[in-house]
Amino acid sequence: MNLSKSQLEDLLLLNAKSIIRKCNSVKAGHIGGSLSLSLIALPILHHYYTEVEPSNVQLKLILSKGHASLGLYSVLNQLSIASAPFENYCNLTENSYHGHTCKSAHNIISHSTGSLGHGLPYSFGLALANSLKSISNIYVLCIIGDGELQEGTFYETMLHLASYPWLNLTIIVDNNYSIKTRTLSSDLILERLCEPYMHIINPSSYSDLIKLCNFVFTPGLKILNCKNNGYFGLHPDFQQTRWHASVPTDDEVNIMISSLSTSLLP
Amino acid sequence: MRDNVLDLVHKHYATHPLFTLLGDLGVYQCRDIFSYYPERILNFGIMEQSMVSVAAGLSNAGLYPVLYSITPFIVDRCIEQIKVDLCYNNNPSLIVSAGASYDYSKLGPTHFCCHDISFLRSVGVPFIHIPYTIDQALEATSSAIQERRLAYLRLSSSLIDPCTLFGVHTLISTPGQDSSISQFYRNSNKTHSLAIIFSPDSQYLPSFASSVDRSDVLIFSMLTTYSPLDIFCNYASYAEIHLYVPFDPAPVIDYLSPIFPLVKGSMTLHSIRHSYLDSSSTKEALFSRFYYSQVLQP
Repeated sequence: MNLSKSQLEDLLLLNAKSIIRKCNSVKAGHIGGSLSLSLIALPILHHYYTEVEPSNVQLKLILSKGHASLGLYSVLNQLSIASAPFENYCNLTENSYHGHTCKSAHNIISHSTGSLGHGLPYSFGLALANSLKSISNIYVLCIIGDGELQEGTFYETMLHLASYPWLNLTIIVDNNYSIKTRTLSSDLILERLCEPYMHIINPSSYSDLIKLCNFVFTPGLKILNCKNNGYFGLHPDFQQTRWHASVPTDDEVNIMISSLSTSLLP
Repeated sequence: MRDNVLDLVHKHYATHPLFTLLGDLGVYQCRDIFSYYPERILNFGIMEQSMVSVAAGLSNAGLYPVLYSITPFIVDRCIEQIKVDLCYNNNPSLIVSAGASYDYSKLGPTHFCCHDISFLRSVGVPFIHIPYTIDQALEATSSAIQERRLAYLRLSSSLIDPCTLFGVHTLISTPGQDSSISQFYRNSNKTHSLAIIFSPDSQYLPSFASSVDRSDVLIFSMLTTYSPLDIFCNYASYAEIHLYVPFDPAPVIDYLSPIFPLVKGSMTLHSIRHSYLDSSSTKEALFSRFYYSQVLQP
């Protein structure tokens, strides 16, 4: 990744502010998931478009946690890859993009999603077909949420993936600990089910973000548990589960933005 | 019907980029595919929902997946995956189901699925084939594979051929080949009786409208992307119209209800498939909403 730590921090902060403001302005968007996704998606996409794509490598992105579309579209806009999806996000015009991820937003998005549990098996099918056709320059990246680990299709797909370690497939779990229940632990689930292929990533660490970018474009099956509990340094009041889908008021926007940590990557 | 269809799928492997996904059913019937093309078939297991999503991924990458399981499992369990991953994302695949309606009546209600057509139509599956004979099943399979359609092929153990049952002509039309239909109209007796056997995989051709004057008996099945009603502009001229409704009738009745008030004489709604033991009154209630005169038992 050819961004310095401070350059990356600046971009991430600008992007976070865009997400918060947009959510408030259109009264739509899943703000929690979008913020945590942006920490992961921004460095990966920057790395892809500046260093990887020129060498004839393709990325197929599946945002299985499709409700984080605001996060993805804001990253595409922030990196000047595509501005229309963000600008027209839920603006109820004829050019509007709806509140979940639509593949018409950009050709890097391989699958339209919105209901949890679809992206991972789809990604498996895509990577399997590429492998059958001996295509080695396409990397499939599937980003799932920690809540999505509860979907049966996750287990169904993992049962198969255990036999396909050679697939060019990276699964990133955007683990923002959104699920608050005493019976489900995302870390435990991942540890027990995915251990042979799993790596832990701390998205608050610059060096881990570099590792993350490199992992995505390394051949083979990888599962990356991105333990994303930094909440952008947001005040604890904004770390509640209501921020999965709540829309901040004007006052809340100001508080959120002013409380964003200026040192995201200590 | 199923064994013949799966055999045909195997034959198409040589010339089409097929990939078969089985829901832990049909494994023995596909043994030849497992032998000759082991890398392009997968017994996916008892994971129907993921199976459909995986098919979407395979399709997006240029393969043509053929999915197989029994009707309630592949439809009821997977309706969201069919809706989102196949229809909404436009990933052509062939969904083959066996055990339509009440074919597995002896196994109880968990294995009934008479609503598959209405479910799949409502989520936008564009091609729904209900073959009555093995030949029709094979024709539908080949055309789906050759045209790379997003299609549902509903196989049944009951080979009730309405043509034989009701003494009517059979037309199996394919897009762009309307010569057989024109010939039918030229050769018909031009009586005042019209029999319509309706199923939703019809290949309605625009030339129908220009060639219909009076008809005798007509069997056609309906592509959901076309409207069949235009050709029946002379409903009032028929003394009788017999409608043979072969499946869960509600969506079909709704679809055809505009013509009912135009009909003189009687209108008869038939349920063709009688292989079930269920005594549900639901179908009767639906029929009674639409002025039916009687339900005949063939």
